[in-house]
Amino acid sequence: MILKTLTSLLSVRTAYAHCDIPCGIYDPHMAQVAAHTVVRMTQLILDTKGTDSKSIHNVSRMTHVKEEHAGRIEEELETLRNDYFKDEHFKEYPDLEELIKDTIDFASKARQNIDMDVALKALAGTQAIAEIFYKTKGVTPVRVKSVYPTLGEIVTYK
Amino acid sequence: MLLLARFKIYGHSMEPQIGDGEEVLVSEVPFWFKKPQINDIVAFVSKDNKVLIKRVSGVVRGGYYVQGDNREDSLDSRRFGKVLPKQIMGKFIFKL
Repeated sequence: MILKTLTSLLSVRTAYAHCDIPCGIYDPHMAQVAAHTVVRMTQLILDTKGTDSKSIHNVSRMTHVKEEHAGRIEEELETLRNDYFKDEHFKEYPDLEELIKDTIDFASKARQNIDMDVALKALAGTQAIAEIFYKTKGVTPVRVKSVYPTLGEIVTYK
Repeated sequence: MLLLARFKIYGHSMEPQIGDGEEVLVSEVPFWFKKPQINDIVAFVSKDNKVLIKRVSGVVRGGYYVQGDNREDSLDSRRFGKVLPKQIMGKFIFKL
């Protein structure tokens, strides 16, 4: 009673137990495109042999794009992990959590280095995650040849 | 920081312990004696100047990680990073 009287004297303020906006729009496509871009930039950097100003300038620009897109892979996968995939998905696909973690690690290494092996591993990881994503959506994932210069595949669904 | 304040909660991220529309008491006094610990529920001022209420999930150098109990529907340190000590207003005491 005393407590109730005391608390009633306090003015009510607002606090938010904030939720994300449940937009429901998630897509593993962007991570794959970013991974293809990282592969392509790594190819182009490795193919640049010149030491003239133009070559140095081009390598600088390609490195910037490689870093930006590798960062995008990390962001896109973190969004899928934190916002889309739920406990039941991680139970149904017990390797999913590790797969996301490893792919983010590969993306991070691909950002820091000029390493085709890790760039391809980051791409393979985004493809495997995309396959799981589409399965959780109840559609059948398919691998199709991309139209990108990397000549790699992209996972979509039918 | 504040001695004692009454807050009405908007949002679902602290369910089931604190539901949307419920009222809680928050006080800075417990933090005079002991810094926020893991599992404490704290009210803090966000970077966009709103008061948020979340549970401390980690104590890190220079701040705290906070998460909603309702992990499937919570905007928290997974998105906005650590909360600085100066942002923390007080500790959740009980529901009214």
